[in-house]
Amino acid sequence: MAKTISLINMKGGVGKSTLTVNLAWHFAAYSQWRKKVLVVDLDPQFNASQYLLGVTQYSSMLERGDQTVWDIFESNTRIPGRNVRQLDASTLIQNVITLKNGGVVDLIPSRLELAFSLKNPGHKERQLSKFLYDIKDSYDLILIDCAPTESILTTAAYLSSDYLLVPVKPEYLSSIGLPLLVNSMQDFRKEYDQHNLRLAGVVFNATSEYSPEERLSKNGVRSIASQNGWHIFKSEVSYSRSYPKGAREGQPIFRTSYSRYSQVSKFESFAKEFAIRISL
Amino acid sequence: MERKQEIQLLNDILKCINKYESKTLIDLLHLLNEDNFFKTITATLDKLSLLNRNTKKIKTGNNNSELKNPIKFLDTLVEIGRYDKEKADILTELYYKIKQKEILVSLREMKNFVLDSGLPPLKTTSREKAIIPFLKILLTLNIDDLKNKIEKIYNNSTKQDRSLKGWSDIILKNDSNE
Repeated sequence: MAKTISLINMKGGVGKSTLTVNLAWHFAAYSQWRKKVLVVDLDPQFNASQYLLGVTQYSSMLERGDQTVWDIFESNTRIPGRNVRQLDASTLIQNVITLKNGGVVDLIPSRLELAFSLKNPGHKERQLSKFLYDIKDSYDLILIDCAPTESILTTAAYLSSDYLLVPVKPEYLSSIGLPLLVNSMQDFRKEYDQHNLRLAGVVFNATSEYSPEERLSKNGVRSIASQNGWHIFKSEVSYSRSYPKGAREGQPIFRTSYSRYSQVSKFESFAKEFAIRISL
Repeated sequence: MERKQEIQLLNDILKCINKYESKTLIDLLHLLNEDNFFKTITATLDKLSLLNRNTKKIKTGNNNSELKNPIKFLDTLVEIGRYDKEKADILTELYYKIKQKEILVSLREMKNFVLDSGLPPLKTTSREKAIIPFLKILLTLNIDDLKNKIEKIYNNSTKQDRSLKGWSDIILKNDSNE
């Protein structure tokens, strides 16, 4: 049965989607892993879908009328004159790549309309966990790329997850997202005390290792993490121009043209530490 | 003389039986009695012998001169076309499409494709030098595998639109539909 991990931070632009996609590729493609990975794009901005599918595949998907994560949340919504739409995993889950070594990256794509679900959130928070429960046996790892704001989607992600992974960019404004997350998790635990949601840890993302400002931010994050008993990963994902370039090429860092071995290797170290942490 | 060889073969068979144990021998006898077995094995051996002849021909050529003069490789494809026209046509078309950068436009893309398809890795460091070794790898595939792989190459090349304009069209079209 798959381990489900939500990548979450209440601050946007910390690299959640990039990290999600790169982790998915890493665990599917590297010969020591060969995992079947499902990425769930739970952000109405659909960055993970853009990264993994590209324009042509994404627009073909819309033209075919394939379902998206929006359908999961709206599957029980009754519209006058229309039947409740049945979820169909075969059109909902898009295969991005099936590697010869057995590794798979699949995607449940998102779309802008997911934002409309937020306007009418009533009783939708369990829809995602119900859907994922039925397909968990087909995967080794499910990665949920969350939106950076507190909403029904956050609760849905928590209810679906075994662990949270929190990417933090060591910058002043980015680190303020962390206390917001502490609040969000505390509220969730009060309301859903029977759900065992664990924090895999905080990972410093897009680090440069030189700036004094970065050091200050890291110290602030370490202090909050220590107050809450949160783990901080030793390995950091350092900034590299190959990450945005990889998103443009639709490739993970280890397949991006001219990516440096040192950067790829740093990502590998983090992926390894993460896998040990969640017992993958 | 022939008897001597037969006895030698028998001796080898007995050694093999000893190695694989009698149960495997019994299973093999059952297999040999199946109607389709000989048809399948004959077809496979035929294909293999064709393939070996073909690969030998390519290997005997000087690799460097083939890289400098891909016409030699194309000549080989013409030769193959005499007994396997479909394969030769597919590979010739593929050669020109790669050469003209219509598909697999970078060495990385070519290497990624080889990796994803479980084919032997390309060791060259330039796209130009990788084209013939890449086609040689494809040459060893049977026609169904080859078609399958080529389809993936063409499909991947149509997935390449990742432009801002493309995304704008999708997003704005969505907005105007509301």
